[in-house]
Amino acid sequence: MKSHLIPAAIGVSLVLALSACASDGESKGDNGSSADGDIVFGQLIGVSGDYAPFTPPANAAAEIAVEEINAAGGVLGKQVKLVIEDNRSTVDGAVAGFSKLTTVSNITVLGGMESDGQVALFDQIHQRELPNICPSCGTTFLDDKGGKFSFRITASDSDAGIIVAQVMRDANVKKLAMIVQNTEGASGPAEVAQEAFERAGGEVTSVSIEPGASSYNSEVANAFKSKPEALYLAAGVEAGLPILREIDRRGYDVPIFVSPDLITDEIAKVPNADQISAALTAFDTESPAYKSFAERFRAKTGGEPESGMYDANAYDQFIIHALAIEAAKSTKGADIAGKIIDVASAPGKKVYSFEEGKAALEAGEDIDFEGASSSLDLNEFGNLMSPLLSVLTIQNGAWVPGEQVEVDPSLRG
Amino acid sequence: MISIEFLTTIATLAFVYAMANQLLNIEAGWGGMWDLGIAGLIAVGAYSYVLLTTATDAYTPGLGLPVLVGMLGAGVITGLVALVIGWPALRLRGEYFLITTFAFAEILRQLIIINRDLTGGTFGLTSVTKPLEAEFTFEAYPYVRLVLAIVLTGVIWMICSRIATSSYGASLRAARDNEPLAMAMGKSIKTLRLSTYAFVGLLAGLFVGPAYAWFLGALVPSIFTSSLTFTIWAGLVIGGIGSRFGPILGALTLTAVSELVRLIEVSPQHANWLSAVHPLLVGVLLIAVLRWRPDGLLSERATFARLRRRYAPQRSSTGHMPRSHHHLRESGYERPNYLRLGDHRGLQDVRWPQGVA
Repeated sequence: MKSHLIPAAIGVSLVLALSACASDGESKGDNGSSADGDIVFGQLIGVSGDYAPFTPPANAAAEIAVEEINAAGGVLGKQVKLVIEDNRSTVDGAVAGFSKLTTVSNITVLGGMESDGQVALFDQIHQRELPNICPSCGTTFLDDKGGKFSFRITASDSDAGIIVAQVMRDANVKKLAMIVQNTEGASGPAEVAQEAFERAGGEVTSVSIEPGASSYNSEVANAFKSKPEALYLAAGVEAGLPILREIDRRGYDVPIFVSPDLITDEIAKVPNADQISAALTAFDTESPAYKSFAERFRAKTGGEPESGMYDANAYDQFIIHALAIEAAKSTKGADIAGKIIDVASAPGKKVYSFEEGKAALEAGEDIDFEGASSSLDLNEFGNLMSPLLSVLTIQNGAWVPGEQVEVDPSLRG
Repeated sequence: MISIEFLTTIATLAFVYAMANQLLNIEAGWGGMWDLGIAGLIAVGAYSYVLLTTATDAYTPGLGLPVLVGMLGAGVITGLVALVIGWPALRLRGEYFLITTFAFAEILRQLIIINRDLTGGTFGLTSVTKPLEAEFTFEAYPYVRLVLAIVLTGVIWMICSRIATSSYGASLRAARDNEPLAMAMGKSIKTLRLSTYAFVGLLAGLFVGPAYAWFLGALVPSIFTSSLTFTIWAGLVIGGIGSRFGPILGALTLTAVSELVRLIEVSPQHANWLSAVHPLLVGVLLIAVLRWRPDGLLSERATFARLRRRYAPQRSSTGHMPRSHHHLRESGYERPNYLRLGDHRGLQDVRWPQGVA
């Protein structure tokens, strides 16, 4: 190496740094707008990679929200522009995508991340004072850390895990087998479920799996070795499908409770679908916000909103952001973030669309946005106060919401 | 519009990959040890660093050591892990070694997942101590992080250059090209390879793991899958296996192609199409390089031809040996005897410094 190269490289980067410091006008919390004057909403999401199946409906829902906002005159008199950035379902992709959204696209608010990226970017979100609502993050990391700039409008993995134990306990299951994929989204709820079920006096046999294996025969055999009365399968579709087919091939006729990631059309068509059930944050299908959203979602995608795909949540996140900007009368991150809980939660006039909320705010009223995914009342940590979960079963090749369940506090640790 | 801060972020990632590429080049390019477990070593380095430096009262507590101590500790731990892996794995050759290292990397990842109390399991480690972070504003820190990544890449480059011009490096390449002849020279190939593998582990823990953790801001096991190994391999193949500057060039090229595609603005309806462009571009780049530059953008042959020119003796009027010749001799560089035998195609292709004959 010729020693002159390193100082030269360092010098170049220092010059770059200094010039960038001088030229980058963006400062903390002063989230601006695009070159054409629009306010930019960023959606950082796994367009490619493991989370890709979830993304098309989530993006369609986000577009519906932005169309609704713009149709009502935009926010603060400006049109809203949606920028979708692919995090490639990886952490380094999330870091790079976040950098692009914040420094190139100059976003005002951020939505759409998954748990891994949310955790990795949590500090940066706070440093930049960037309002962020996650429509699909279950990570327990946010249970007591959010509420300032990061918010979540879906159930925590803690609740998702407890509801598994609760349903099993209520069905008088004493021996439960678990097949759990080694990813945070799957193993997080499973660990909570195991602890809660054992606390309730049950016995658990757990088998870990990796996605992408050519066969899961031995894992299925191991899980059923203890002759369980029920099975909890926490996995993605890639692993979940072959496991369910193997269970069917072996003729194991026990109730199977699956994780939210498996609430998909493909799973609904497996031969043993009648054994399968799941719990998920429920959509309040009677809500005017849901009905209006569902109609537009059907028109845009040709399909029904699915709670397992978090599409109504993806819609709600941007309506809340827009209402918070209207309430704050500012595009500064801290101002917007300070209004998110206010516009989403009681007390206030119940509103079911951006237009209604904007009108009420202009009239000087407090509002409580009732979203398409739920009532969206948030606690001090930016989490749903009482996530409504419903038990879903498969009927005629489709997931059908059944009874709605509230978490039993006695099962919490 | 291009943002310098965005380019800085991408450049930082590129230089982290450049560090890893250079280490892979030592063992695979020069040592002939085709390692598919490099992601596992980086994982050990990254986790060790974070656990050594994280505060004792964090969600997953660490030891709260200073950054430099954490880096040194991570280097030692990863070096020892590499030694333990290398001991059985290096008894195997070719594809068997490749499969074994791949398996060990997966085992390491599973151990990280299983030991939840220590590593946070699939939840991961959410607090990463970064050097000099407190001294700069968050707006300035990406540039500081880039400088650190460039400096560490430069340090590894110097180490690699030293190896390239040393008898150690020559022995390594000799063992790769003709193991029986290298053994006939009196070299202990087993020790040579094991020490190289452990040395690569040490550098992975000392530099690559910490730098990757600084970039990511949090660690989860899913980061260290085989896709990381393949990204590093792709960069090395593009840059040129065995070349000195090729691993760096490969990492910069691959990362630029992968990440700068983000600057293309498309409507939300076409986000899927843009995402499909990323793997397409990487694939096209790999195909183009393999078609027109099968040795990579920079080749090993060119690297060592340059070294030959640099160190070739130029007869002085005084008849004294040139300074460069002295330098090589002092550094222990000797032309291996097997080079005179030349009965192996790979060796015939290698153009060694004539001046050190």
